[in-house]
Amino acid sequence: MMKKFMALLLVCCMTLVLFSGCTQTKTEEKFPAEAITLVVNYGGGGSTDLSARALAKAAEASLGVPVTIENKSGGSGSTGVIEVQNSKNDGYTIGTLTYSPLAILPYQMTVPYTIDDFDFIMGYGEYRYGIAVKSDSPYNTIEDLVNAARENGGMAFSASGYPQPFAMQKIAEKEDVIFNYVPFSSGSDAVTAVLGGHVEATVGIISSVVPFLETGELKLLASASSKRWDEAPDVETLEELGYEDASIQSYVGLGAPAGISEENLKILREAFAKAFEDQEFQDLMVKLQLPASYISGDEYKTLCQEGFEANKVLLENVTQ
Amino acid sequence: MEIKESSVEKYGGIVIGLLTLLLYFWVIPSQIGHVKKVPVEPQTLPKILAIIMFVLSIALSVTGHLNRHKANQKVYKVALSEMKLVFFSLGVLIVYTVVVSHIGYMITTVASLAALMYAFGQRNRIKLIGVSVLVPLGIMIFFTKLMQIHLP
Amino acid sequence: MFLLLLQGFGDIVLNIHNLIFLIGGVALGLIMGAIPGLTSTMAIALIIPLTFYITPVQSLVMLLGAYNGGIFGGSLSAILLATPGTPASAATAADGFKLALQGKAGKAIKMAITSSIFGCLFSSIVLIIIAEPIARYALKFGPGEYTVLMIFSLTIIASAAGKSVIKGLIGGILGLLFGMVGLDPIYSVPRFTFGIPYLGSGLSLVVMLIGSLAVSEIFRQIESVSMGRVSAHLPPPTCREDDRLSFSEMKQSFKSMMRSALIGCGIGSLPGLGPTLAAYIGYDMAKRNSKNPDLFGEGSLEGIAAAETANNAVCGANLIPLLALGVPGDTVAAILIGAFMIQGLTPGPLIFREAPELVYSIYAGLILSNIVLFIIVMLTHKGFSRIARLETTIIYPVVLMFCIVGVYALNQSIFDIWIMMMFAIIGYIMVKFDFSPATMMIGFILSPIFELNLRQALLISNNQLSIFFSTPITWVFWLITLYSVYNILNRKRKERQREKQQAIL
Repeated sequence: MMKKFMALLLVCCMTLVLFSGCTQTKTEEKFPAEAITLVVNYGGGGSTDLSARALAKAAEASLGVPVTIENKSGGSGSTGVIEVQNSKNDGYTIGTLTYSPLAILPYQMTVPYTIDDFDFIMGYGEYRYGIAVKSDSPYNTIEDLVNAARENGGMAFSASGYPQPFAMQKIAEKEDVIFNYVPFSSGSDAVTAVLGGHVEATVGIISSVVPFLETGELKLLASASSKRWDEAPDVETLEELGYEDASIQSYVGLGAPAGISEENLKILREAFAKAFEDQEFQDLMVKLQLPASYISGDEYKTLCQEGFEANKVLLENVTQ
Repeated sequence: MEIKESSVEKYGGIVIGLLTLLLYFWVIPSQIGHVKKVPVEPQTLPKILAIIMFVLSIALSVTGHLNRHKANQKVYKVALSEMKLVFFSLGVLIVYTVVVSHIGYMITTVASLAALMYAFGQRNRIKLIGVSVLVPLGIMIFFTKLMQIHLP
Repeated sequence: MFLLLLQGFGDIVLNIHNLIFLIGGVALGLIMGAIPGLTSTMAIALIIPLTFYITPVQSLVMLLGAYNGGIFGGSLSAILLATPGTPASAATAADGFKLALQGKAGKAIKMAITSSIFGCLFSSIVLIIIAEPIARYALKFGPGEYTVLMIFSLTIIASAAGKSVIKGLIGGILGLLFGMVGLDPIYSVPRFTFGIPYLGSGLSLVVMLIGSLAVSEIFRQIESVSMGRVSAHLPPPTCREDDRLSFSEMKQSFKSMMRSALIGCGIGSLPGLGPTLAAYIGYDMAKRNSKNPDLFGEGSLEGIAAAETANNAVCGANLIPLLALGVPGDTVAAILIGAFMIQGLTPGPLIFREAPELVYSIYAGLILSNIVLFIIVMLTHKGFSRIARLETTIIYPVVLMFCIVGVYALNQSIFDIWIMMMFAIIGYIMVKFDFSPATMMIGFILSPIFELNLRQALLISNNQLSIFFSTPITWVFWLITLYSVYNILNRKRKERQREKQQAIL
């Protein structure tokens, strides 16, 4: 009886050791030799997550290994970024390093990373923004909004976070009126606030606004990005209307912890650049209404750094 | 030991009141930034809640004090002997959490399961080992293969 | 429209592939929901990557099945193990488990499944017939209106308190404060984060739930184990009656079910609220209007019916703002938007034009998922109950491990496990001294919605309080709030009268 028991115990122990000892050994052969992990810093199903998945799927062909997605959401996008920062820089862990946690968030909370902690693979999308009002409202141009704000001593607008309010801030500064920023948790919430008549205008993300442009319930007064919207080519940008510096931008891109070897970075950059051209990925980006624009890794880094510098103005609002 | 309900109310109220003061004067100012020039700022609502909580704690304390001679009060039994197992379980959980990222999921879980089951009185060796090994195994298969979630 | 609906049904039932995905989704959701720590949201997030490879109909029915199954799955573990598998089942746990302790687990489960599908079918029908007008009406709820609705919901805390309103309110405020951990909703200033970026997104409801309701309850059960109770965790049914749900029992709870279904529909169609809130409000409303209010909390079938109907009604109602406006009602719906987009569709006003057949397949899928759920549960519930009757020495350690792993799996974060344990200790102390962790949960859920809308409203109105009295909706809710408070005070008064009478006797 005792012997049988010991035998059973031994077998179990061995199984355990087998399983727990199952750490993969990284070979020094060609990179990549095994699966790459892509950490997405937002939750499953969102546009960042979906676009990253499509990109990953397309990149598997050139890389020759699976690219598995890990969602590490939280901290307004910082948790995933921190995860990448803390990973080994052997090239097997990369992640979506979006503009907002890098260039805006550090002003709102203490984050342990800086832009220099990362090597960037590429940027692949730029979020588009625009100023929209309800169709049956009396406003047809930005000027109308400004006049109304002047008469009423202020106007409330909705948006789902920075950098959107910057657009209105710049207009307000130039025209010497007050625009009150009312934050909402998501782009669609900001839009419904306008539809319900609770705020007069919104600086909305393109994907939340376009459906209502098509049904005619919203009017787009201006594009708040550097380019006009494809869906509304007649609507001017804020810059065209005379408000320099009023265009806002936010990007999504991929990166890895700093210190990755030149060779590996090159391989990753090439693979993902190729994946960017993949038709399925491009189609998905259109569906997500996340305009796909290829930004080289170095350019992306510069964009983030410049944005970081320009956002110092956020510091004025908060003191600890 | 046995504690009367009114005593719980009285002393509980005092404890909560003190904690609330701590909250208002130390935790809130140190943890929440101050936004100037606006009437409603991040600290406003927490401070209001702290004040309400303080009032409630006083009310609780006073109720307890006034009721101290009430008949038919509920009596709370706090017996440490009863809670031994709870403390043990808590201890196992704490050790588990500390250790799991270093030793790895499999070993930690098996050990913890076995320890808990043994402490609870399970002596049947087959059941002990069987459950301790099979359950974590099952969990691991489920999570890593099906759901592609990495365990430490 | 009826023809299209029939077509939708045909699409699923006759196409064996679609049917398999539906059943698979329900089963997956059920299992995920039943395991403490895993939620239907997780199940859905997992299925999303799969949807790349399958047809739109298949992915959507699978997701809807998982959603529905998940919300019910939580009730299984709530009843059998006193640990709600998902937050939505938190209100069911108390009564469900008490009934299980009496050997009536089968009855409780049957009541839960019946009410759940009733709720979901009801809201599905509402969805199909009047989604558009309801969604339009829901638009009228702006920050001011939501704030007053929240004030009403806060009164639920007092009502859920049980004997001592003061203790209940303290619990509620504690929950409200916990809800403020994270970034300030307006200024994004970190609050109560102690310098830890992870806390920047706040505490997770599921973690708090598992800790304060599930693990603390297990600790309570463990107490009795140390007193020598090594026997089965749950007693077997004492008689055949205990396993069955009689028609008259169902009839008794019918009013509560109807009421809860309406409440669930209402709450579901307002973005941002969620099934947990619906369950608590439904439960509370039933308790106030019931002939046996004292039974609530001690094993009331009516209570289970009320909670379950409400939380599953949210399933269908959640799709109302999603389909009509493209606005997700809660996190699950937000993930569903992603699924839609993968397939190239944008939920919202355009979807009825772009892909009406798909919409009707969704409707059909929703209705069918209920039937599938019912069948699966009826077939397997005995098995589940049998598991729950295992020895305590096996069950509790295993469930504890599941809780830990489940919580870890949420965000792959060890930190979450620590938070869970903190709440377990808090919950344990609370229960020991007759505080109700439920009040803390309700406060926690309400806190972000309440504060956000309150401050948004003040921003819009430039700090004028008049915004809270500006529209008919606000007046209605103020009246409901006043009535609720009056009702609570009345009940307390009657209770005290009864106590005095008993003392005299």
